[in-house]
Amino acid sequence: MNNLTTENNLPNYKVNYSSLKGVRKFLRHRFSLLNTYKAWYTILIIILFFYLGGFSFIQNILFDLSLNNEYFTKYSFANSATSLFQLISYLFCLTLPVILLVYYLFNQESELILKPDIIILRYFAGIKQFTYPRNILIAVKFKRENNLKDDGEVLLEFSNKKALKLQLKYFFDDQSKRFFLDYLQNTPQLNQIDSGLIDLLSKPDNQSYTQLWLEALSNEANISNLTNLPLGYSLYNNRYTILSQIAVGGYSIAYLAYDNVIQKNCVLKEYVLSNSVHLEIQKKVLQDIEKEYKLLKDLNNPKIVKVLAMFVENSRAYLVLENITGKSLRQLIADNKNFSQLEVIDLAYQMIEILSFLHNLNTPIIHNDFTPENLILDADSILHLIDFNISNYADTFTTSLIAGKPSYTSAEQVKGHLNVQNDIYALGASLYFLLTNQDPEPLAQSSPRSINHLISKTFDEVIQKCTNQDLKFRYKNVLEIKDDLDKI
Amino acid sequence: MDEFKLPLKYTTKTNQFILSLIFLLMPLWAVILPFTIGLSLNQFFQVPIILFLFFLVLLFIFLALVFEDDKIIMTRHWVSFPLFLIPRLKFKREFAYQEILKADIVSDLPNKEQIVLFFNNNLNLTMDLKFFKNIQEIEQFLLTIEICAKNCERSSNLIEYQNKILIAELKDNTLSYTKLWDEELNYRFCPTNFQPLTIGARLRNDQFIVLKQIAFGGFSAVYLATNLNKQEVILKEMVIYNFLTPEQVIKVNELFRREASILAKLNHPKIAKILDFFVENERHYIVLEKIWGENLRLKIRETGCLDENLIIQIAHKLALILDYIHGLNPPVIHRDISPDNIILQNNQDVFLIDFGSANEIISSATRTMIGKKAYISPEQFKGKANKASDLYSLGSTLFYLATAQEPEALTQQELIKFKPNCSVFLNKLIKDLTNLDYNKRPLLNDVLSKIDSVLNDLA
Repeated sequence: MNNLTTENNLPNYKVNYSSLKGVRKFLRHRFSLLNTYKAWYTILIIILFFYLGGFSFIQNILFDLSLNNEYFTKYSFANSATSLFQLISYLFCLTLPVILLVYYLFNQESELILKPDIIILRYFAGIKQFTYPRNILIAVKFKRENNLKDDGEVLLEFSNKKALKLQLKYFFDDQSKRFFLDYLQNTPQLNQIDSGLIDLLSKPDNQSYTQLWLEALSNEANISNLTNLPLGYSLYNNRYTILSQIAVGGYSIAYLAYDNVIQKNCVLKEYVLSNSVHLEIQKKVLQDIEKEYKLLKDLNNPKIVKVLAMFVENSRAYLVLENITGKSLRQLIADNKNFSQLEVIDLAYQMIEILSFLHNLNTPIIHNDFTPENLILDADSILHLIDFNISNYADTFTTSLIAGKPSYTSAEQVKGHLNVQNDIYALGASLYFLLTNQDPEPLAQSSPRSINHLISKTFDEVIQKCTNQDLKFRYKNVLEIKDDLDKI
Repeated sequence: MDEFKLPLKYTTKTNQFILSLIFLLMPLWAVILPFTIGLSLNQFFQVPIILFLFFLVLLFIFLALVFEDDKIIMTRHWVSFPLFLIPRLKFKREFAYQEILKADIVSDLPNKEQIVLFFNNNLNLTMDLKFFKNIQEIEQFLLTIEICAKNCERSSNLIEYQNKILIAELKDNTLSYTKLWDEELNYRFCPTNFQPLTIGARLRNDQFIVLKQIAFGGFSAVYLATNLNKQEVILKEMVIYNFLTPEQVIKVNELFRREASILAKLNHPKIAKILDFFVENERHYIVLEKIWGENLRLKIRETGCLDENLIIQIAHKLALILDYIHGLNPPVIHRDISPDNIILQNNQDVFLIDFGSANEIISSATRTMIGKKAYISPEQFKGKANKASDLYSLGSTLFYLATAQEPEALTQQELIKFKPNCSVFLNKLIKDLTNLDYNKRPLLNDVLSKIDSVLNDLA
């Protein structure tokens, strides 16, 4: 089921769509649940009895008995009875393979295959198949069944007057529903999809717990647990294919991946939730990750990485983030790029813009990890902020092991205080890094001019004020920095 | 991803026995007997009663297959009950989770607990806990109901029962207050960027078997394991292969090996011995002696801050240990003195477990600070730990022992502000030890002699 089959090198998207579910359910219930051996034992007995001439055996015994009993000799075995037995036994032996064949056919899952250019509905392992080109899909209509079950009928209408009716309850799982929705939403000519349908198809936010617990309950971890994801590995029902590992943080690993449904690169941030026996532990960890997800989801700023989705698979939680092409500031410096003072000032303005956005939200967000690793410069020289690892849930991990990058962590942040000035300190430290190509000394006021005399005195003072160890003398908000920068 | 399906066994022993019997005798009653009777009857009635019996046999077989159903099946959207229960459920077998309105647990007699489920349409079902296979399956059943049945109102008795099962499984012998459990879980278990070993995992050719996960987070994990001699040991695991280049990995592993061999040479009755160290699957392991007893952090969380006398005695013993390691050639700096790493036995013996040197290696390799923030000295934070850094950590630890509150990081601690009736001596000791300037901290010898004299006065 997890095969990614391709035709003409186009990635394929298979959704499990089980229209014969009722019958299959019954069959599976009775015959495949760990009790198969009993069913087969029964069938075997019957077959053996008939094939090995059980009839005649019993007949003979009775015949022998009857010979010794006067009462029985009055009646003799009619020959017709014997041939009747034989007829029945042959009939039975013939119907058995037919029954098995029907069982096999009904047991095959039907498939709804969503390819980039066509939609295929297959029954009975391909014996029956309906094909529709995607570009003639003109409308999606939705009729809800009853309010108790998540059910309804989706009608896909095509311009050649054909229509495809799909029952929601036959979509095998929530992943399939979501893919179906993404597929529809990415079909350009479809402009309107019923919001009721969207609701039913998109996963509510707390599904990740459910997924996690259910996976753990059924012990479903099925990839080698001790290594990271190999290249080419597919996740989430083949939606994401791992391309490469791009970064490792204290709590997570970031992979570059390809999203097969919307056909773009994306970044998967993976948090390992140990498949320890105790779900409570995983749940707590998952709660914090969900917090990060919710935090990011509501942010809407072109300079801040967007989070697209969250899911749980194989005891790992994934955040799907948009991919930003470019190198981080740290990478650029490592590649021997030297930033001129003007370039750094321009970057400073961009940093201020980002921080000012975050600090001025209705509930201000303090980033707490504003470092050169987390700032990406794209081809148009626009700065992007990625990675909200520590952010506002610093309170959860205060006594835990990882304290952040020392050079960019203010003393107050180490003490666990949440303050916009933490970010200002990190901003100053980052500017120092850009100007001198080295990390500043931790817990100390930084002055790049002491290393590089070419830096203007005013700029140096700005950076000193950002990294002042005394909160009273540090900038209180980023706009103050902007004012001072304007003076250069 | 396959659809979630959880089969749980639900049946009584007598049921099972009867059914097995019926099943084994099936050839007899299902096939031989009917045909025999049929043939005999055929004599009298000349009616193809056999045909009828043929179908009767099939019916018996069908009934047998149907009645030996003993599984509760739970999937994402519905739960179905074994067939012998359905008469009570008005012949409805499968229920969507939305139909479960209430779940409760009652116990008429001790040891005769029953789960009661209420469905809409006024249906209800009583299930005997004894019919389940074991406690784990009961837990799975209740958990699945909890997760999937969003409309279900779970009675407080049921929630309490579930918690009881959970605690019974999670509990280690040292923690007895359940309300601390939440925080404890948060403290000990954080997300990791690697998959920790599971219980039952084997290392080094089956030499070690993992018994329990004690803690994990970030790059490292701690396990309780058994070795070849069936003794319990502590395994510390560190994973740094994720992002270093292969050459760097070799270098870091070499650093680990060197640290571990230095620590292995330590020979002090009050320091947990390093029994072994090795690398496997690109993970670095240190095998430590298991020291029985509660660490001070847990102890204080349970019973509150310690008596001053005891604190001073503990300080004395710790100072002696520090004296030993600092006095080695070359001196060994502990780097991670904190309540977590100190075990108190019988209210008098003090043991030091775990060194922070591995943290330092990881810290420099990853450029992130690893270590418990509250007890780290400023110079250690900057990456320049020295002997006096251990004294700072000692002072912070004593503060914690005296107040049961975590000290503020990178700050000189003043005990008197939190405990106005503390002794002048202890206040000054802690204040001096946690001086932010390491040059101004007292020397270990001075500390030892001062404590000695105070203890003598008390005696």
